[in-house]
Amino acid sequence: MNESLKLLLALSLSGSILAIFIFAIKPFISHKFSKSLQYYIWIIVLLRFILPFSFDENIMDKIFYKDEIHVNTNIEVETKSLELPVETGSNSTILSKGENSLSKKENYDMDHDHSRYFNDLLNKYALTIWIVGVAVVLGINLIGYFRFTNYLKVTNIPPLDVEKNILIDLMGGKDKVKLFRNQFVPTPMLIGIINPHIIIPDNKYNEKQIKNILLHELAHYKRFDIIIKWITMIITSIHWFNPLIYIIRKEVNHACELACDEFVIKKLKPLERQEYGDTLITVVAEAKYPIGVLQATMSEDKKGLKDRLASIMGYKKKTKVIIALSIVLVIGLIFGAMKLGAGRTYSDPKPPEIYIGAKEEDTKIGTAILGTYSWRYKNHYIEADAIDPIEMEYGSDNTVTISDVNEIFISIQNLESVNSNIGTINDIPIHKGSSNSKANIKYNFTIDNVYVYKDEKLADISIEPIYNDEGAYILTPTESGNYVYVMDLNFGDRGTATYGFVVNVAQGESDEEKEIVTVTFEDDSELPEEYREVFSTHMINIFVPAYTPYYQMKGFKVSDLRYYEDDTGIEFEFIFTMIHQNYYKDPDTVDYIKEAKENNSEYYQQMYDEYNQPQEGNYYLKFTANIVNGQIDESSIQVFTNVSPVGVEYVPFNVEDYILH
Amino acid sequence: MNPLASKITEAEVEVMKILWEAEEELPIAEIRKTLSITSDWEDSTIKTLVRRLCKKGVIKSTKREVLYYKALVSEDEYNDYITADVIDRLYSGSAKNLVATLIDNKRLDDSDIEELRNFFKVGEKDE
Repeated sequence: MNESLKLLLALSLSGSILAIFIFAIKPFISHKFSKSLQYYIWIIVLLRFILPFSFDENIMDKIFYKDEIHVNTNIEVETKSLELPVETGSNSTILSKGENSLSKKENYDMDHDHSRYFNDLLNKYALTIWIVGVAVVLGINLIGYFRFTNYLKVTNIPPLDVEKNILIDLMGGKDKVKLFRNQFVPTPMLIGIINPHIIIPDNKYNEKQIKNILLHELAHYKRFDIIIKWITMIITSIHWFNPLIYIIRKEVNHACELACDEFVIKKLKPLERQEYGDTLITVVAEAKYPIGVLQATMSEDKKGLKDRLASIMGYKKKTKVIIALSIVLVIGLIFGAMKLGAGRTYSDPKPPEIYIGAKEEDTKIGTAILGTYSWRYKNHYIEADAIDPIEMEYGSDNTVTISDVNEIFISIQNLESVNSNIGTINDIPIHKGSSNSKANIKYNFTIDNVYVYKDEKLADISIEPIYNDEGAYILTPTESGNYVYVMDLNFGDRGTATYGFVVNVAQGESDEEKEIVTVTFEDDSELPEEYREVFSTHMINIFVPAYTPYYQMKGFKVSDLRYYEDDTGIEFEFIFTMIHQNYYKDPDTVDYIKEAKENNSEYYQQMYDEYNQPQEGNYYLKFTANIVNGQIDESSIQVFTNVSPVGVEYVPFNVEDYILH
Repeated sequence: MNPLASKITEAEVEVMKILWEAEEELPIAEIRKTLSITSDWEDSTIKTLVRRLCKKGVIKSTKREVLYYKALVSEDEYNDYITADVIDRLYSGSAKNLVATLIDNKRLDDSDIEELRNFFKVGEKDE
């Protein structure tokens, strides 16, 4: 899943759990604890919804990241060298894109039930849907708010002088907050952060009532409640998909009013408290509304107001025990909030270990050596340089020995699950340093490049990886020997890493059966025996390297040869037949065969049967060479092809023209 | 604010506009004449609108040689109502979440107010 979405869901779930806990304890604390405290508790909840701080060991991490390898170390080095450089100076080999490099691409070859495809699709659109949702909710809120303030601006009228004086008096001589009357507002209100102003309904109020109204609104101002309201709005917009957030917002607003009342009345005498509460009732009683307004939530509003009045009546100074308990509660909640966490705010300090194995009994599983990498850890990238993997020293732990299999798997998987999925792997090494023994450990990676070296030279081997849920498969060479595999793995936004390992292809049955590619001639071929070997080698050298990445080469045939010779050279025309075969693959995973199957094509069975059979391809060629001392002068060899569909028109032959890239 | 203003529908406003512009009582023939230019309403429709306005008490008829109609809600009163309606709608929507108010914005009826007044008595004791 996308990292941002994971974080968002972790924050949403974390905040929701905390909110549900507070709803649960509310009956026990509401009458005993300070209203301000109860308001601040909600602010902790709101912060839990938006700040990704948490303890390293947190609950969301367990929920959202349980399926990833978890290495806890304190390494924080920026750059380190994993191996001492060896003197050979060919460090640049790996950096240049070799002929065998694979360009990065989406690969759904082994995705039989399309689950990976749909999963990717969902992840892709989920992020878009969320962003659009945030933009819409934020937009509605801001447009509504600014239209509202604009309407008020044109309909506001100045207050009475006596009201202005009361305000200045309450502000201690300052006039930071402006006061207006407006006949259209249903209740006194405080608006604006930068330019705060109080607007009261254009009704008759006596001095005491004005004072109480202003005390309440100034309390909102002093307590920065408007800022809290903006933050709440932004959090609601971010978590618009979470239904609980709307209930929380309502609760926050109510807690805000109760806390504000408490802030006002704690400085008042009992008689003044009575007047304060009476003012609330009066303002409610005088509130004027257009007749059409729905009154569906009326009883709830009565309950809300009654709650506030009851709090004012029941106000008591808090005892020391309650204050102490309050501190404990707040600390406990902050601790709980951190413990709930927001998922992973750190990552493994380096790329995961990569396991190499083969589909074969008694194959020891090897681990690849980590080379150069760039890895995100604690929100910055660690760049670690290492020597070129071809120069590393590989031990038996880093080597996979195979005899007659033709593919190896590359996986970060917990080996238990590899075992059960692949079947017959024994001798499972214990993964040192990783405490996570859960099944289905998964990092998603793609293989950007694979280079295979034999005797320190880039080997000519098809290395198209095939992905499945456990990792990737790569074909192995058939010729015996030690091969150094160098892979660039891409872990998406986590980073990239180069790994190296050795595949030892043992001398086995496969070698005996190994087909040597040869050129055979028709019995009556006129080409003299002494020229055949040079000719054959030349042709093999043209065709085999060019086609091997795509096909297994089986052999060549020469037929219909017409031969000419004079004092200086030879020239002959012939049909050159290439016998080749697809690298083994389940035909049903090949696009055009899959399509034929889906369309119930009558040719499907034929395509299926033929896919893994040898095929022939014909070339109409002309070969010319000079003869020096009875031998073909190799530097003078030229091969042409006839491009004319009817007549004869020879052009130099270039095998690349026949390969579809 | 004149509560009658809220009873005027969109279509009825067209009739009211004629009365407001004329600034005097008008017979139905005059109303019809002006409306025939600005709208394609049938005579019967116009009659219905006028009758409905009378019934609501928004206009008043006086009988002279024919019935003369007079607006009881002024244009200013109606505009105030429109403004109040818009502000109320905006306030009930998102704006409410961004302002700090004294009370919640829902109307309680007289019996609720009475109940709250009886309920709210602060004790004399101050602990």
